Amino acid sequence: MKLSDFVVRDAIVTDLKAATKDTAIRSMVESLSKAGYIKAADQEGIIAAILKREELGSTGIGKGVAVPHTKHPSVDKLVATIALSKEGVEFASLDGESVHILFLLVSPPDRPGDHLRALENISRHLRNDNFCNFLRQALSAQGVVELLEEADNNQLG
Amino acid sequence: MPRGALSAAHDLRRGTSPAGRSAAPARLQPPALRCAVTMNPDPIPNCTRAVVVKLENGLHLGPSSQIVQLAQKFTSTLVIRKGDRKVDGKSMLDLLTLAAEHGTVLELETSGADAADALEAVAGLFERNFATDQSSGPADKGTPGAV
Repeated sequence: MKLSDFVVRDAIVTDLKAATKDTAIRSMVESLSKAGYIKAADQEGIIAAILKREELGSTGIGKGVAVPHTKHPSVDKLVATIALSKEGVEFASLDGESVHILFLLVSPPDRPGDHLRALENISRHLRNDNFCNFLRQALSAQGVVELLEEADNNQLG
Repeated sequence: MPRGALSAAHDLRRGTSPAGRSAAPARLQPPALRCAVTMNPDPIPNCTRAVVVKLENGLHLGPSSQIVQLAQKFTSTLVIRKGDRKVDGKSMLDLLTLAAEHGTVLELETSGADAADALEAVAGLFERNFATDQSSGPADKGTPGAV
């Protein structure tokens, strides 16, 4: 599984303005909806499900990264988007730091393996400081897409 | 030198772990928990145990977070092995790269002054299948640092 297999390029947000977890998640789900990967009718249900998951424990995993996610029957394959925040989002992360890189995942309920492999993929690349730094500096969706492709092809050292 | 210590020293020279703190010679090892106190120069307790991921959805973000938060309460290191791969059990990013699905066997290895308590606590998470209805921090296990 590659990042470019499940990250929806048309839904990437490089200038997230949200300061809070709620508004950040809403903005990302709306972006997936606008890109046509989530039906408008399912948008509120998906936002509510992701926020409910956050109540169980923050998905802010440290190093300025959060991975909000949910299973939802309205998708038949895993879809994800990336948002970048210059100012940082307060996310109640494990290490207490605000979040600058967000990966939001919506996966079909019957495909837990895909969700695990997506998490594996994302975390493997995030361990690479080059990937993190370049991602935080990306100014356009196209720049992010190119970075994802380089990461998929192990070109980041 | 007591007989057990001689035997343990012999095991160390051969590069094998003694089969328990008493290092009894030629005895079957306990089935799950293996702890050893190396002799010199600094005694660093080291414990290992195999656990099975019983979570239907595998070791996803929530349970991984529970492991990291619990492991960080102890001074001992936690290494988690899946086959040939090994990761730092105190790092979320490391743990998530395991992608351990339902049924995966993992080996937990703790090393440090409170290795036995740390191993008990983390293995307990797997045994309870990560149910969160009870506390399992070092406060429940006596004085942190005691082995």
